[in-house]
Amino acid sequence: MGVNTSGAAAYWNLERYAERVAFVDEQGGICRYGQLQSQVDEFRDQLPQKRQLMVMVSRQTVPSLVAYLGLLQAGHPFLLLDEKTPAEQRADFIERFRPARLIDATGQTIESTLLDSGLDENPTALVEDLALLLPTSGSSGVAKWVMLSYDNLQSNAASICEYQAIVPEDRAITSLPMAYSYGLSVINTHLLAGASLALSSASMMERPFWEQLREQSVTHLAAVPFQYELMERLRFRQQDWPALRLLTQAGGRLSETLAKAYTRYACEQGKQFFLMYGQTEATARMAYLAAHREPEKVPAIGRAIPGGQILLADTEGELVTQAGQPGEIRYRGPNVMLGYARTAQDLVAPERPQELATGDLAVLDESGVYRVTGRLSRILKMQGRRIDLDDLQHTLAAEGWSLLVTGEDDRLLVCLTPGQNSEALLQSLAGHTGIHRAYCHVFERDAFPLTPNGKPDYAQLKRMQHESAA
Amino acid sequence: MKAENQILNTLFTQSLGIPSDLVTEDLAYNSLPQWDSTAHLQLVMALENHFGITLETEDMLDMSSVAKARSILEKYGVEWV
Repeated sequence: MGVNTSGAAAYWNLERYAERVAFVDEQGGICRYGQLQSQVDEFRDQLPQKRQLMVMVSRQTVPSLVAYLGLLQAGHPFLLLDEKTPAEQRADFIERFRPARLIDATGQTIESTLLDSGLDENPTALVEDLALLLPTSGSSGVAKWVMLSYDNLQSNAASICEYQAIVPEDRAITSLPMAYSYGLSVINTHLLAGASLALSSASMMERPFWEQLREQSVTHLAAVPFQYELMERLRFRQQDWPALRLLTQAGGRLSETLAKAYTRYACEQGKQFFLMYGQTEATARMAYLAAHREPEKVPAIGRAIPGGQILLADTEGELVTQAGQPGEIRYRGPNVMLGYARTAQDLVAPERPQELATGDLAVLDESGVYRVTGRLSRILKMQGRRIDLDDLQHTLAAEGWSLLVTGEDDRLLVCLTPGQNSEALLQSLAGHTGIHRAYCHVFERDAFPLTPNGKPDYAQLKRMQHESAA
Repeated sequence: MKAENQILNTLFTQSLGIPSDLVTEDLAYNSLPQWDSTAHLQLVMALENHFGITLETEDMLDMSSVAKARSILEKYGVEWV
């Protein structure tokens, strides 16, 4: 039972901050760390003694926070799932992982004879330091899960606390799903520092979100690029936010225009603005740029987080040490995942990679700052989702479409041969990716561009689309 | 400014990517998975472009149903015929 190797200082151990405020709920109700622990104890009463795999459906509310902490404290590994996950995907995960119990978004545990991992006769089969699993892909239902250890979670939270200088007076609003690595890291860091959360399940397009931000004196707002676009639309920078001290951004590349606008805003208003780089495979964060301190470096990804190391490797795998020379970002650190899992069998002996090959190309400048220059792999990050373009292309081809799929930071580009129904394609695209059709551009060509050795020429495809749009 | 009733339905249908028969007066934000914050942003832009108006921040946030969108647009001088 309980394999929390990180000891008493772990963020899920709440007692040491008993008298401090842990969170404020949507109605303004205050809960201290000691009271939160009492709720966690109550939740833990319904858990089995034996260590078992569970699945937890979450939203940014009190019952999910309580269940999350309860499972970590009790040492039950779990798949963390957003409540908006479609039912058929949920059923698929349960089928493939056979968790012993399901905890729903109200914190109720549901037992079922259907939920049987087949691993519980031999609980040691579940790898000992496995804390939780986060999904990585939003496309075509073939999600891979990232296995994270207690050390992964704790070390990344500690590192983030260090460079963001989170203090007990800080308060973050839950602007992102808990089941998303960035959203989860915001929760973890504030609990580690004895700071507080403004628990909100509203989106930025709902008035209660902004009322809570203002009335509960939130100091930290975390947002992905799409949310910065929303904030611009809502004229965020034109309003006064006296309590706010920290703005952070992760989840894909922020447009240079917005990155610079928010850097200027932070400098003028005496706020802090962090541009951050990471991925779920690194628990959350790998690098950061304190844009308010080095505005001239924007939009670089900055430096490795405390305790982490970034290396650049050329196409032969040799290290690139010269400034200005591009290479693939390789990351090492205590927050590198245990490995991927697709079924329960993968939970037995994880791969434990030493290093993450990110698929991102970067250059290093003389001052030690990394700047992303492109992508090696065909994976697109849009609106907090990760889209595997090859996978999407295969899925659509299997439906009978003749097409090529490529993309840029903020949109999917699809080239169709003539005579196909682009309206139906747009619907299918939205269905597979969850990306709004306004971010999908479909155009027609008689023939697809090919490279000299006969492979699809995606770079040419992008140029063709730019020409057809011009 | 006079506007056909139908135009609001069309703008919702396009912005949310849903069939037009789902666009009823009481259709509300988050009541369908399609009406999420991304679609809401698209809707705001579509309304601003079509009617040539600039919505106040508060109005963007309060536009949480078709009926509310209709009454908010009236504040900007849109009349339904």
